[in-house]
Amino acid sequence: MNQKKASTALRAKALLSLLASTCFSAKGFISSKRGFLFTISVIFFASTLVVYSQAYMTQNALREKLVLTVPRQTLPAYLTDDLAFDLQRLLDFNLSVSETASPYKMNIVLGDSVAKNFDIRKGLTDYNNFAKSYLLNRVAGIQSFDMNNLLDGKTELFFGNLFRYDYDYDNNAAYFLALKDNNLNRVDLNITVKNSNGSDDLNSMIWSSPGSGSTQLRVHYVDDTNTFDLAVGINPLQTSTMTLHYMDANLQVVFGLAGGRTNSVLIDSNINRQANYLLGLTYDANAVSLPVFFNATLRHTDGKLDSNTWLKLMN
Amino acid sequence: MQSKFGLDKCVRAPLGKKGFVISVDVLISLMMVSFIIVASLFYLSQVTLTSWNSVDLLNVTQDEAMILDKSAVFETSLSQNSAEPILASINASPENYCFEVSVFSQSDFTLPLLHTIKTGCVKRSSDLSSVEQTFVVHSGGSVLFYVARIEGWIKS
Repeated sequence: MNQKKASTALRAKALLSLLASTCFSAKGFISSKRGFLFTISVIFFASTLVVYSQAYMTQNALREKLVLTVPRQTLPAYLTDDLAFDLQRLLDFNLSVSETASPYKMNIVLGDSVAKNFDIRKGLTDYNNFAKSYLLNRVAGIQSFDMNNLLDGKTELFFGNLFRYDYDYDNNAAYFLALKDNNLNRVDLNITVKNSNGSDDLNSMIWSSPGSGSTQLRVHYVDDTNTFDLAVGINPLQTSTMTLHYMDANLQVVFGLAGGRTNSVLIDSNINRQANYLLGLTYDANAVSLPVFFNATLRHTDGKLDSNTWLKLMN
Repeated sequence: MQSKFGLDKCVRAPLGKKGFVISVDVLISLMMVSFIIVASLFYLSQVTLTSWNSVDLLNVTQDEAMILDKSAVFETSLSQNSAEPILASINASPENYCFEVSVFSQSDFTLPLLHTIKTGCVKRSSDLSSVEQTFVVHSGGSVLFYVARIEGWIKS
C-alpha cells in the first residue's frame, strides 16, 4: 500500500515536473518568437529611415541640378526689364496703366512731350551700341538685341494687342491708337508749353467737331501767359480737332478718328519748343491686365535655353 | 533551496536561457540600429542647400539693383556726385544681406565714379553674387549711359 502510495507520489511528481518543464519551455519559445518578430519589425521600420534618407539625398541632388539652371532662366527677364526701363528713361516718358472691374475699364495715363530737347535718333543709336558693346557681351550666353524698329523714325509701344502708342520723332507726332476699337469713355489732356521767350505764346485755339458724343473730353492748357480749359462731349468714331495757333506754327490734337483708327488720339506739333502733355484715357476693355512692351526684341541663347522676347515695360 | 516539486530549477532554467537570448538580441539590435543611424546621418549629411542660397542671393541682388535703378537712386547719386543716396538705400535692405555698389561710366570700367558698401559689412571673396544694371541719365540735352555693378553676399 505504501509502495503504491510512493509510486503514485513519484509519478505525480514526475508528471508535475514534466508539465512544468513543458509549460516553461513553451513560454520561452513564445517569448523568443515575439522578440524575433519585434527585432525584425524594428529592423524593417528602421531600414525605411535609411531608404528615405538616401532617397532624400538623391532627390536633393537632382533638384540642385535643376536649381542651378534657374539663374539662366531668370537672366533674359532681368535683361529685358533693364533694357526696357533704360529705353523708357531714354525716351523720357511716364506711363501708368490700371484697371477697374465691374464693368471693366482700362485707365491709361501717359506723360510725354513732343519736340524733345535732345536728339532721339542719336540717343537710340548710341544706346543700341552701348547695350551691345558694354552690357550684352558681359553676361553669360549669346545675346542678339534688335531695336531696329525703334530706329526707323518712330518708336512703338504695344499694350497687348489692344492699343499702340506710336511716337514719330522725325515729325514730332504722337499717336495713341485703339487697335481693336475699344470704346473710348473719357479723355483728360493737360498741355504745358513753356519757355516761349514772351513772344511765341498761344495766339488762338480753334475747336472743330462734327457734333457732341458720349466720350467726355477735358483739356487744360497752360503756357507762359495763357491758360484755358475745354470740356465737351465727342463722338469717338468721328474726328474732332483742337488746333493751337502760335505765331508761325501750330499744335494740333485730334480725338476720335485719328491716325486711321477710331477711339484714338493724335498729337501733332510743329512748334519749335517742347510741348509737355499728360494724356489720360479710359477705355471699355474686357482684359484685366495688358503687357506693355517696346517694338524691340532680345534673343538670349545659353545651352538649351533659347529665349526670344519683346522688351516688356510692365505686365 | 529546492521546492517540493522541483519547480525552482524548472523556472530558473528557462529564465536563465531567456536572459542569454535577450543579451544577444540587444547586442545585435544595437549594432543594427547604430548602423542604420550612421547610414541615415551619412545620407542626410550629403544634402546641401548651397544652390538654393546662391539662387536666393542672386535674386535679392537683382532686386536690389532694380530698386536702385527704378527709384532713380543712381541718377540722384550722380547728380549729387555722392554715394550717400545709394548707401542709404542699401542700408535699408534686409539685415542679413550685404551689398557693394560701384557705378561706372560707359567709357571706363576700371575706375568707378561712385563706390560704396553697406554699413557693417565686410566683403567676402567667396559666395558672391554679382549683377550689372545699366541706366540712362539726361544731362544738358545729351543722353549718358552708365553701368552699376552690384555685388551681394550673405552676412556672416
